Amino acid sequence: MTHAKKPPLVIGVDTGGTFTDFIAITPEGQVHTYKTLSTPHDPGIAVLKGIDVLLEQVGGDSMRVVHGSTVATNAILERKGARTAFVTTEGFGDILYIGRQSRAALYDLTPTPPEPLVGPEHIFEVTERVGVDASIVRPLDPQAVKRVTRALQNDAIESVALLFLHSYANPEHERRVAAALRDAGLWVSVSHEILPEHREYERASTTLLNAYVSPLMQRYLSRLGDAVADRGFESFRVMQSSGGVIDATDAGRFGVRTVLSGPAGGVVGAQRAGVAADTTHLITFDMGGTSTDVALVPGRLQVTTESTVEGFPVRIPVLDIHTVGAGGGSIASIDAGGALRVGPQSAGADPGPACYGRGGTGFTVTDANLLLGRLPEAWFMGGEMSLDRTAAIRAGERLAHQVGATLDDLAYGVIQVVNSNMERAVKVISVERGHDPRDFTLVSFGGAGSLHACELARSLQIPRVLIPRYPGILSAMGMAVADVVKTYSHALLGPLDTDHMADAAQLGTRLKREAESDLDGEGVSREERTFTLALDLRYRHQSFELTVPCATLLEESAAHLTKRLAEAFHQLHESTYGHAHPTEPVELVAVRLRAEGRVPRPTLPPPLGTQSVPRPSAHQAVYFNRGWRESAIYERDSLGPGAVIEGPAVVVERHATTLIPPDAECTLHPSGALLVNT
Amino acid sequence: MSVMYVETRWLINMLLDQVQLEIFKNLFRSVAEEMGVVMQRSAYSPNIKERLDFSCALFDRDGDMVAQAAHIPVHLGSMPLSVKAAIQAFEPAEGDVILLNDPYAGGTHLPDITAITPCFYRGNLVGYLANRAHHADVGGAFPGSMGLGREVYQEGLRIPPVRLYRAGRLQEDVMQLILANVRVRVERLGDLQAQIAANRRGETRLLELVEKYGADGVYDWMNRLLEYSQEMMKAALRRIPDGEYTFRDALEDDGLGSGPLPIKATVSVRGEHAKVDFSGTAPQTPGPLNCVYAVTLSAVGYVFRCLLDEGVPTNAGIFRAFEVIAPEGTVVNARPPAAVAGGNVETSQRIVDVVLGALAQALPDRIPAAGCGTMNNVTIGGVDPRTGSPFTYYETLGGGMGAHAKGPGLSGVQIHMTNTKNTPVEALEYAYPLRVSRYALRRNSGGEGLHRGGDGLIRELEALAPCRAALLTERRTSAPYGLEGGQVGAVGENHVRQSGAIRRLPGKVEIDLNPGDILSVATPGGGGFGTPTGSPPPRQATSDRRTSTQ
Repeated sequence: MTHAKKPPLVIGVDTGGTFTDFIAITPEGQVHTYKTLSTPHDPGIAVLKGIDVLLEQVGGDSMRVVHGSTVATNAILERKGARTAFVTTEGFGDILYIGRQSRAALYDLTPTPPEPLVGPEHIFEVTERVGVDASIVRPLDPQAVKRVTRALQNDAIESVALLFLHSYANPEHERRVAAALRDAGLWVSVSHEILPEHREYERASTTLLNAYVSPLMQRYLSRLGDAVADRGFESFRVMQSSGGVIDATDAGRFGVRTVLSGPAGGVVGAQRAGVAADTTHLITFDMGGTSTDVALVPGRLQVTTESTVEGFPVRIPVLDIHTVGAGGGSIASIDAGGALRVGPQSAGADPGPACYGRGGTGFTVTDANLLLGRLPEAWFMGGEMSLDRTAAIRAGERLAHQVGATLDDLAYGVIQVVNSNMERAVKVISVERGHDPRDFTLVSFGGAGSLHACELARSLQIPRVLIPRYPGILSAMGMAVADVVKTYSHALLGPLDTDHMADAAQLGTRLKREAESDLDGEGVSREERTFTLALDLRYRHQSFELTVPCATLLEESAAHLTKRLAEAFHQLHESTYGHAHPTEPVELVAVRLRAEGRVPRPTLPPPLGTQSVPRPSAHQAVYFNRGWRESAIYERDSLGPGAVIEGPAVVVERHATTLIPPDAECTLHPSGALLVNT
Repeated sequence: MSVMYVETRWLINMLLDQVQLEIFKNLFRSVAEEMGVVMQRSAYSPNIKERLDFSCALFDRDGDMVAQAAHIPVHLGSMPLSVKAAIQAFEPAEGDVILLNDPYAGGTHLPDITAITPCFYRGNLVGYLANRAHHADVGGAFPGSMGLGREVYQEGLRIPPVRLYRAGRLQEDVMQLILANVRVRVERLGDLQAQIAANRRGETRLLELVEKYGADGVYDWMNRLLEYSQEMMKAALRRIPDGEYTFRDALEDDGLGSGPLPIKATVSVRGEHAKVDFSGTAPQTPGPLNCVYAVTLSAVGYVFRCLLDEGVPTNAGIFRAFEVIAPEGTVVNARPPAAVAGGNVETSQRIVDVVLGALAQALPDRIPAAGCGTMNNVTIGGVDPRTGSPFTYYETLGGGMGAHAKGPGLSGVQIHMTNTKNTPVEALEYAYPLRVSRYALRRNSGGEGLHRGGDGLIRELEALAPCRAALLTERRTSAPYGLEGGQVGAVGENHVRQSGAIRRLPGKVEIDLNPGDILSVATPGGGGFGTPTGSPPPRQATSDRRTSTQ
């Protein structure tokens, strides 16, 4: 199966908390966008509505849909997942509750216990035990398996998470029980299939989340898939948290892979916008109403296996995105020690900031932006929504009075504090990991990002800010252009020597075979595939691994590889932690494979505007750190190639506003992105 | 650069202080947090890399703690005294790293080794970076250095402040002296190197701040933050009704036949001043349950810190707001050469129980019933037959948290003075010749009440090779108290199964294990809060189900 020469019509759909965003890219490179209110009770209604609206506008015969869904995430947040049971080794039924035994807040004397996904009445222990060396310490009791199967059926359990200790080393017992449960018609998530790596709690948590969300995800996707197929689409794919897409059928089986798919779409979209503007080293900055996502892209998408959802670890590869609970809707307050705080309380979408005029009384970041002249009212949401300045002033004055500051100082203070939260978030993903922000370009998107991006960049000494086209729907855009990505891993604990290297090569071959067959299933042609092999290595006594790329695992001799990899590991350790121990023995921990299938790239049209010498649509006073400055307002859609704007200025467009501070210079890149030299 | 200068001057002179406070709070905290990341990733022993039994902090040039990453509370008030001891011992010099663990010269107990790096910018001292890590063995009579010593000399290698690095050069002789005295040499070396690397990273970050804001700018803001935390602490103290509140509880025994050992605290509050007086506490004891003053200060500081928001910087300012009187020669302020291994981990928890018990009289809505009140220290050492090398395993187990006015206590968590993680079963069995045969919540061990105390844990370990184990546990005979009519939590129980027979063990014990022997530790539940309503707890129904498959 190969793709037609002519690229198909591609529709990217991103379901968010408030809005569902759409982008359609035609084979000719025309772009259509659409935004509609989400329908949380059945997200598919909004999805199909948007698809129908876009199809009416553009038509087409060869079509693909890529979807980023919040179904899995919401099921976890709202505890509305499948009726799930946890089946495990006798003596270990509580590992989900015990977790890592530490408490989340160090100085909280009265914490609220987290609500578990599975109640104790749905936890079952089975007599069996596998040893750390893969030996069978206690054989599996077939009677116990029968009893558990019956009990699960009697309890009307829908989905089962199955974990036995050391199953990554010897999955025999898990396999046998999984087969019995599947025969009984149960949905089973098996730990060695989901995450064949050691550390039981993290593996159990990941397996459980998968069991909890997958049935819902599959029902949702298969219903939506049918409807999409009725409209003549050749493929229906789903965005994963790793930044790649997979077929919807697969996504239904591995629901846990989609829990962070929305933010992942944004990072992919930002990366593509960067490439189009000849920029590869990026820090992405996606500021929304209640939270902000930042990610580091040092020439490539970075994945991590250490993320959490609602405090539950998810150890599968996801894009390394750091989220802070502050955004445009965050509310300012003064604490007992007299410090100005912004967040964590948020006005959300309802009632929203005071200036939305829906009864909100908290003074939010958006209110501060409005009072500082940074959010030209006439253009807000394309002029369709009016802002209540009086309400914002009322909210702000109350707080200003409390600290004895002027309203201007207070509003500017709020901006400074929220920017410092953002600054800290960016540092977590950059300096803390050994990257200097000065070597990066800040890519800003989301509703509120570009109001803060340039000042944030200045405080971090980031030289350039890039505001891509369609910043308000960049996640949907990212989904539309993302490649197929599948990741595989398998534990292999042992010293880094020729014998184990040979085992690793065998494992690598096996994983690759599996990947090839999966990509066949995705309809990705052979020449569009790339495979990236890597090994997790550590010092004999460490328990944090570093992932060392190993492209030649399947070709190079084991002896040669052993030596070369040890050297590469010492070097990586030195550059990551500042020291290495070249005489220490190195251990193998896991083999990893990332399989990518390149999808045809849609081409985007050049910017539509014609003004290479831009003409302001209006002027207004904007507050910067040295006071009010008369600033020009430009409409982004009017800007033509080569347009240059000197700060202070504000660039407005339908779903976003960009603030250009004094002494900064903004140009329109031929790709349509705005580039600001800070 | 000139723009930067103008902007910085302007910021400091003109902007709302509130804004800057928040910004610098974040900046300093991220220095300490990043040190923690480096430490965790590059350490060798499971106790540091898996369980995160360490803390990192940033100090100003006067030696006052400015920021501590949210690690282990018992290190909180005690690290500043380490830095002071280091400064007292040596004139701070560029390129030095000072190491210490001596409880009687800035330390707490011997396994906690502190590394201190003075940081210089263009020849001027701008601050200190310090971290403390619990090493799984520092020599002495017992593998794991957490046994039942009678004197500090038996508890391991005692390191007064020494310079491990001088002018940037490793003092190989000092390092060799340390390594010659410990059981698992390679692990100690790796962990010490991780400690050095963490300080080095902190130094880099601090210097970047100095570069950007100037040495005086950084120093000013460090001090403003101390004042800020002090103000926050004073505000919290003002909300406590004036009065004198006394509470008494006891340690059960010192493992060598002495006990119970009463601890008494009188908390006096007047306006924004608070004083905690331990007069009436038991004299120091032969067994290893003695605390040095630093530990007592930490425990009291922890309690007061809990009265503040999570967001308030944990720094020296908090400690300026109250006074601690700990009579010398008692278990809360021992004189050398008293044994101290358990003071840090056990006595510190009881001090918290006592100070909280006193405050509960003033703040009944905010103070929980007693938590499990012990760290349930398990230490096992021997030779791993798989490698022929010695091993020492150290772990602390969580228990039930006390219930409170708003709800039940958490189950199976580390409480108060520690927050270490567990060693995963699969990691433990890989690293040591041990097998975990059970790891479970201890159902219904939390005290009854309107709100139930949290449940304790059960952890059973099977020896796969001959080895020697030590238990240092409390609350085996005296139960964690309930409040406002809530019942006590269940006491903990230690057992061993040897050649088919199960035998109950005392709270503090050293014992030899043979292959097949099983050591079982059941940890205490938390106390209940409020009078029980009489209806049975719903969770009872589940225990049947969970054993029906056996």
